[in-house]
Amino acid sequence: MGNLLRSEEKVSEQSEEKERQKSGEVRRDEVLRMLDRKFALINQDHPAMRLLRREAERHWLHAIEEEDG
Amino acid sequence: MGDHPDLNALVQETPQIATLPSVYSELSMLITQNRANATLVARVVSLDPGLTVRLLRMVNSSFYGLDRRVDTVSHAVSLIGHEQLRQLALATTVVHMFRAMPEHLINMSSYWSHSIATAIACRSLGRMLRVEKVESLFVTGLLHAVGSLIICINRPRKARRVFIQAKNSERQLNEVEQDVLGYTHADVGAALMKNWGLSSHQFEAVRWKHAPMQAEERYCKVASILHVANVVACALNVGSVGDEVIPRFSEEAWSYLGLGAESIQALVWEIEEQYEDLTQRMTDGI
Repeated sequence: MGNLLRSEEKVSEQSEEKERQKSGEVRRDEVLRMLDRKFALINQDHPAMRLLRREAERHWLHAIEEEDG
Repeated sequence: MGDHPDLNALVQETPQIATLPSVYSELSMLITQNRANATLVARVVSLDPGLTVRLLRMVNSSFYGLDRRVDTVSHAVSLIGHEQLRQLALATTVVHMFRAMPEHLINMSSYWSHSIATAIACRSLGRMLRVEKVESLFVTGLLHAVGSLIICINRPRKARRVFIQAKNSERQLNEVEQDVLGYTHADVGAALMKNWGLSSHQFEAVRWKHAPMQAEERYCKVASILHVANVVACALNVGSVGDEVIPRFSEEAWSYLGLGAESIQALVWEIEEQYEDLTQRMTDGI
């Protein structure tokens, strides 16, 4: 019975982890969509703007990671 | 863009903002007339204890990177010089002047975050380009959207319409403003800064921030610096002054400045490193 409970706990933990990852992916997608909208008027082929887009993604994805702890 | 007959009248509708406080004006006159020394400057600033506190808070921030604590204005003057102190006094004075903005019109915390991020980027670009008077650039960045505040105070219904249209259309804020108001926040900001007696390099940079290469040749550099700084701050979404999209980037202005693409990374890092602490120091208690 004890083993059954422990394996149930493990499944539950794995399930929570999957939910967290999924939630992280969803938020990542939201950030990327937000940035697509923000950069709508910007020519991202320009080297400076390409780098700016990359930095903006890094900045925002890092902020999400910080929130998730 | 240009002079609209209403602009000065619009600015004058809020007399408590149309002119800078007398302590700052006296300080500025003392310095620009070369009559200043550390003792005199400290005496003038001490007439406004709030200004003294705000100045010292800023001087002691990591933004100035001084290796010792500064407890008096005269000490601050000896370390950073009259002109830097004057610009710093202007920066903190303006933030303080707008402390009573009604929050239902504009989120002031968001507004100042963006403005301070832009100011940091302006200063950083100024250093890269070895511009004289980088503190003046900092203040230019800080004030670049001040016209929005005047429009919100004096034309609140139209301001709301502008923000809603900008949000729904993904158009640049200044383009929507031109349609709805007949002028832009850049025009209003320039008019206000001119009324304050600020340098033409500062208010012309603000006027032309979205089209820097259309400025007179002598203002192209400073307008281009402000333009790039604003684009970078918008991209990081560090606060907002109402733009849902990053304003169009002028590749001509970028070429004019002669910077490499890697400068963008340096700007971003500098903003990330400084904006939180600086925003807190400049807006604390407001």
